[in-house]
Amino acid sequence: MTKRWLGLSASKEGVIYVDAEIPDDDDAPIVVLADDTWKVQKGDRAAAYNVLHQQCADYLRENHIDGVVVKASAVMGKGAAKLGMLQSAEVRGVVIAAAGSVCPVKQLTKGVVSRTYGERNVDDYVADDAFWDEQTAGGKLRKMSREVAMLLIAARNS
Amino acid sequence: MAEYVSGLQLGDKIGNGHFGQVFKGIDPAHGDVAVKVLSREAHHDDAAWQKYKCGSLNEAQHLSKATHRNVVQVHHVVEGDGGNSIVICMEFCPGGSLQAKFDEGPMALPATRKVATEVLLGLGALHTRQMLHRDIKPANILLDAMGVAKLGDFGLVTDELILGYGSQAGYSDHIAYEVWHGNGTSPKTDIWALGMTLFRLLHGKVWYEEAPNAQLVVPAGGFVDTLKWLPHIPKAWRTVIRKMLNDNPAGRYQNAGQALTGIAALPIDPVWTTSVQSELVRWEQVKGQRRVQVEWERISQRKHRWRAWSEPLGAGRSRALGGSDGVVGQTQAMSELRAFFGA
Repeated sequence: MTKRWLGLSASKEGVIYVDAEIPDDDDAPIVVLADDTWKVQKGDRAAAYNVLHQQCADYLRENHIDGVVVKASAVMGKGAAKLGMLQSAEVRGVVIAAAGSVCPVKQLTKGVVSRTYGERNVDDYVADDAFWDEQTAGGKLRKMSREVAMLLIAARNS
Repeated sequence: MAEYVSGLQLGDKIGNGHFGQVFKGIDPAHGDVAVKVLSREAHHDDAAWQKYKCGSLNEAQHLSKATHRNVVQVHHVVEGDGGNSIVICMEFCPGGSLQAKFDEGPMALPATRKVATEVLLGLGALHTRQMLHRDIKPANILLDAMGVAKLGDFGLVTDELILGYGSQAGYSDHIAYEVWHGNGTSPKTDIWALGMTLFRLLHGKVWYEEAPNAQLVVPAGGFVDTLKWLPHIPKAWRTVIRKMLNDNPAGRYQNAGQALTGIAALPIDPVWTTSVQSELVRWEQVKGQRRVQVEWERISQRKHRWRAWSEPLGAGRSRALGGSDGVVGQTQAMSELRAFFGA
């Protein structure tokens, strides 16, 4: 049966989400239903995270999402963690918790996707327009959302 | 099937709306509840009442399944008085409606953004379920015991009723441009009504009622260009509300999610406590160990004067922060105040 999944990628300012139907047939393209961003509200972060949590959980519940794939935290470089990275991790935690209250959640790092999906690394696929024409149907994806959709494509094949 | 007797007990009347009366009640299962009683009116002939009753019962039964943190929960709906009334048993919101806050005066930015956020979360859920509210206004936004805003009193206004109801129930100010011109309601008309609600909450009753009646201005078009803003309202807020109130539905936020994104970036400080009277507008905020105050005297239509100063919370001297050069015109006073507030 066709499933409806949501891919999520968090930053300190917001969460990019790609909502897609995943057909049973592994060769059929995923159908993009929505590609948008939930913004973290300006001001007090506790209040902003509360809003984001509800916004995410509401979306999943109201749209009957079957599963969520989140771009997981990963260590980048060897430098000290910057505040922005820590805040991104906070936001990621909020949406993981929100998603976990509604449906199953899977976390994938970019590195794992590169190692387990196809022959190329994620950045190569993200830059390849022909790949996206072949792998997606429905609404047009923003370029910045391709990495999020990649999570869904990788997860359906895993 | 056997008939069951409800243990619902009606208490004091707590509201009187266009569609009926609202009582506080006690329900054996839910405790404190609000009970709305919609009664048959003299103008309802048998056919009209049957149609209205069926529509209301269907909608309310539909709503009883619509559970959301920002939507007043409908517990159950029954017919009363031998079929001559509809009784809707709902969640009781002890914080009352935002009509009282609107009547008191301008709401501060953080409280207004919180209301906007919570209303949009509720509205988003209703729209996803293919439902419209059609009656968003301060009186229909209720606060629960935790101060969380909830949408109430919906499902009663239909497209057939909206213009007639609006003129009778004071809702007309919340009717979008296209509805005045014969188009139906939509999620975008709910967004319009929310924009109007936010404008009203930010300004309070006294300021809002100084402007010409919106119901006379909106149908002519260009309503947003006629709005007179309190000078501390930041530009970003004006932009978001103007977008919600665009005459062209395509120029508005297209759904609650987009509107949430729009309000996410709105600044919520500084937090001014504002009071508006016909001759005097006052702002006040505590900043560190000092209280900052601004007074705008509206001596007459053409004569205005303002000054800003701070004084210590304890002993000490007050400091002048700005002011008009004596009595000035309204436009100049407002422009100087906007500059002072950085709005």
